[in-house]
Amino acid sequence: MSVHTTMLADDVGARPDDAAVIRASLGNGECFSLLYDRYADQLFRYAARRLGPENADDVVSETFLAAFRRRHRYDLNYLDARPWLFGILTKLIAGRRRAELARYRALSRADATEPVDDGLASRVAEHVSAAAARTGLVRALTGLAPGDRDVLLLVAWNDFTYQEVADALGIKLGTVRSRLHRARERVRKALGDTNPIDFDEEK
Amino acid sequence: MRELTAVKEFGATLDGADGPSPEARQRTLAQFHGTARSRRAGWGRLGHPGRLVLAGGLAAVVTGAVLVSQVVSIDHRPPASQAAAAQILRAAAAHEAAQPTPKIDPGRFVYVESIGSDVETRDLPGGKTEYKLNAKHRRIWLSVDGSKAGLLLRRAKGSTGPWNRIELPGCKNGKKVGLDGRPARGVDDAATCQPHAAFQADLPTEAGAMRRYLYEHSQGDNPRDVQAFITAGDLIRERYLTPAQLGAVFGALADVPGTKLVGAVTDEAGRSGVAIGMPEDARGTRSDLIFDAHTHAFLGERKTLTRAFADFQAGDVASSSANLVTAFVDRPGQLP
Repeated sequence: MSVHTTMLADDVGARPDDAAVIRASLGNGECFSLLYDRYADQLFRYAARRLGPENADDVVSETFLAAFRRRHRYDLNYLDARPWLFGILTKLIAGRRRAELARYRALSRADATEPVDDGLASRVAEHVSAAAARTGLVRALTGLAPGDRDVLLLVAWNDFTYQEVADALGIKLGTVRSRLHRARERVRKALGDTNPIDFDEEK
Repeated sequence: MRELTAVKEFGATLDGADGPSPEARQRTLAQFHGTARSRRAGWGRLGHPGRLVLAGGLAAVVTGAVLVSQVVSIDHRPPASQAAAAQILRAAAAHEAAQPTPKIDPGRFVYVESIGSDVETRDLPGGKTEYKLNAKHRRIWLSVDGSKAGLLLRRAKGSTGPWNRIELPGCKNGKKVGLDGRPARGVDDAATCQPHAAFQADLPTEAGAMRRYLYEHSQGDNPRDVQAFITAGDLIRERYLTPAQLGAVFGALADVPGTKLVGAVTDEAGRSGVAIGMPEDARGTRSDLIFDAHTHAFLGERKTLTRAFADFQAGDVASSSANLVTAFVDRPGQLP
């Protein structure tokens, strides 16, 4: 308990990095709550986007419990635990692929039937084309290979760098690049882009 | 670029709540207790105490000779060191094979008593961190078939003060149960559970089959051989294995490449033994199994640093576990 209290105390000069928190949690499990408070919201939003809010509470809890159980294996050279936690979350999401795909299907259906709430003609046109784009996007996401989708969404929704994606998913940098390339190609086609320029901006 | 922006904007339209509910947070944080040895939800180290039946003289002689001839030059002669490690592991397998197998009642409990140590850290004002090795006396009761709730008691080594008490839920018909036999509250109340049996009757009893089992059941990002060694440690820590199963584990490890003879060590309980290690180069650590130097009974395990880290030097112990007693009892809290 003293460790936890000490770590939380305001007189701790710098904010301890994630590795320091995990190290402390090896002696005192309660310190792990610091990590929870740092990352639970980000993980929750990401999980809610992919699985729906009704599944997000559970899967985030499971992520932290799995992380907590494996914390003695955490490589303390990595000061930032975000990729590690998102890697665990990604695996748990993979176990709920059916829920994820059902969510995407529901999203594209909801769009098709959503009433237009504005009488202005230009707004109507805008809405219709946005809805069409959205439907195409959802279809593209659904059609992606799961590994490609993991990479795309970590980059697009969490601003992960290539290296962070590689660390999170335990894959090589080259694999991150090729998966992202494939996923973007697919989305680009779904959006009706006929003149793709291959961006490969390194983060 | 456009497609990434489109995916990003699409994502933003899906957002609702900003984070987990306070209840979910509360339930999750309630699970964060204990020290790092546990690799199963709050279920501490599995382990096996020395079954201190004196083995025949031959094995003891082999180890004695190995210690004298190899330990000193271990770092310069890794192949000899690995051969020596395999010899000791085979002797440990033979020791187990000679032990009697008790009758095992699935309704009873495995009791394991041990001394375990971990590095405890404290962040001090001014950004410094203090590290110290913290030894605890552990008593754990685990349901043989996993259906009943178990109990973990811990206190500082040598302390006569009160025990820190942690209830370990059991799992019956897919539902968690507490020590009172009633459904347990926990983070995944609604979810179905899987029982964690302290004894698994279907584990291989032959070294070759056990070796395949270890490789097939290894999960983790370590090199395969290293992971197999770690999996073996996880398999025997604070559990009961029959002599045939435990012997198969040691026999299997004798054929896992990469092990080395560490040499004579004194464990956390003050007993002298011989350690067999598997270096984990990427982490700068080594996992050791410790055996009685004469009988080859399994005494426990430890994790040693192979690179300096913070206040620690290479060679310092980062965690350890010395098994004192393993027995079957009728209920949690009962001493054998």
